[in-house]
Amino acid sequence: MSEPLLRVSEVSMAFDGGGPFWRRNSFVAVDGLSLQIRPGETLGIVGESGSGKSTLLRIILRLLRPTAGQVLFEGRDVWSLSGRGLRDMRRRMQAVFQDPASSFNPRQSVGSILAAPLEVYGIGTRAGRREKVAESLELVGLNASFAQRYPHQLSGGQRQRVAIARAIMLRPALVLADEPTSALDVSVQAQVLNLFKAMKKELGLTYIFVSHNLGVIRYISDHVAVMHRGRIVETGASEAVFSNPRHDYTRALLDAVPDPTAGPLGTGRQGQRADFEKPATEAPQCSK
Amino acid sequence: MDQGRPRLPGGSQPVLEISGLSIEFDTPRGVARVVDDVSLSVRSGEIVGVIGESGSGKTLTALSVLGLLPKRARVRSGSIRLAGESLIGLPEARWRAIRGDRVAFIPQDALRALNPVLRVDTQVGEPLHLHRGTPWQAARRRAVDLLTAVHLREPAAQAKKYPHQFSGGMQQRAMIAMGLALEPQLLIADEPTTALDVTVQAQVLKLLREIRDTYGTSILFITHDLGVVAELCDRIYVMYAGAIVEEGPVRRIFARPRHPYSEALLRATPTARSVQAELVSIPGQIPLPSELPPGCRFVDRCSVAFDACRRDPPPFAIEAGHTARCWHCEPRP
Repeated sequence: MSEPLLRVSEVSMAFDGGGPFWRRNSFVAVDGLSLQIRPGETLGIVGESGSGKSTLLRIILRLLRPTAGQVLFEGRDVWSLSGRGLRDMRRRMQAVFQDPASSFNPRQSVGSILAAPLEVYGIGTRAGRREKVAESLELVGLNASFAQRYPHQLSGGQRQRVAIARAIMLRPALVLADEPTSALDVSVQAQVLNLFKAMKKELGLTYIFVSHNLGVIRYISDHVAVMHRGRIVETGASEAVFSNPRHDYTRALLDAVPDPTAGPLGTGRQGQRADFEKPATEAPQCSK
Repeated sequence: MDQGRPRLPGGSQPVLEISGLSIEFDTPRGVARVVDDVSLSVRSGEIVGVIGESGSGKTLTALSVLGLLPKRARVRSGSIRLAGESLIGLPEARWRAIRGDRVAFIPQDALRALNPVLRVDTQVGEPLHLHRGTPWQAARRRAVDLLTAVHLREPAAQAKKYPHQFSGGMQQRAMIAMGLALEPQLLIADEPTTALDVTVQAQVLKLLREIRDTYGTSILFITHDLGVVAELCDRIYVMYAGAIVEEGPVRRIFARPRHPYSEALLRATPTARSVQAELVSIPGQIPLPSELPPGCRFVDRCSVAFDACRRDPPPFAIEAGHTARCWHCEPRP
């Protein structure tokens, strides 16, 4: 077994929940969570809103300092890094977010958006960078003329392709994707998911893929972690978790997914559904 | 909701009948026809789904039934009938009498639709006060009954809260309660569960089904989610780029879609319940109304297009109640 690329150990994140100073509340978004991912894997993290999955992603990206625990990327604690070490880490770890429209500067052309990471890292000459931009655009299925366009001239799917192109400009080891297809139409979503798969094959990437859509997670992931209330309640090989879920919460979640291939609601599966009245945060707890 | 709505005689008389509806926008670059020759009906007690991606015209079709089209949009042709009464060109005063009373609307974003400075019971009871002149106190009491009917926990206590104190699922329940206040014949729901978590979504879908079964309310359900449609609807209309490309019973269409677009949509949707073969993505993107190809509007993205597709296909009957606008479905002589 190869060394893990990323190791998250016992990470917790408590946010200030307000209240007077002698009785301060805190909200624990991530609660003593550990996970690891080996090079070349795709880890899917699935959970409902408030489960802490986005917080976890921000901790891994070193955008949030956890209140406890450690994140090791390529064997180094990301919070011990500074200067050159930190720059190297940032280069090796890239992200794609849900709303590509808000992650681009509207006044920058696609070409300069994509060249920016190269400029920051002082890679190549001006002409060389232009060539690399064209190359990356081709790689994500857009032609080189897109470099002249501006974000508002792109469709949602094209914008997400540009976001992927930007993430792979520096040939990172790890790409984190937070709900990258949930703003897209179904037909376009399939294109983008297949692009993620193709990029992984082409460039040997490792992914952490966060989504609330179980179908998407099943399709893209080798390994799955199901998050609930800041913890991972079930983890394992994707096929095993989806075909034979062991935790009650995973089962409730899977059972609540409306599925075009299944019969309509109220035909026997209903009894196993998540309890009618309980909000998601009180969904069935582990009975073990 | 103690006494059920008297069912219409015949049971299958359409509550809503849209025929040949076309809606246009004036744009700086000319007229854009965003809904083109749409015909659709909802019978008493039926749950009908309209499924489509963005730009398919599904929401505008729904808004036209409520007289809530944006100012720049206009109905170019066609008719909309609610239990026989024509709705096109009604004066605003008449619309106000119909909306809420005979047709209720459940939007996607319940929090934005609720008034942040009014308590929930006041809002849920408001239609009774406005339409029926029920005194406020009685209307608020009735609101608690309605909140009970939508299975809100501790309805009496919750009724005194403000919308922001509710979770997303509770807000949507409050919207549904408000919609039911005047026992409308038709509920129009536009992506009501899209913003909700899957477990909460399952609860809301079950509630809608229960409402239909209990009160015989007809529901027109607008969504982009194939799974939701399969769970909830009796019949569906598949819309693409402003037109209905296939209609029929939901089971039939899912088992054997006949329009290449419906089929492609099914094969592009990742499923959590079974091993997913490679997702077949639809190449290209949905055309803008100003850039529609001549003939079939799916022709540029279709894998089985042939010569005939340069002409606009009419709806071909596949069997009773199931039609598809595709030349491949043309009956062979």
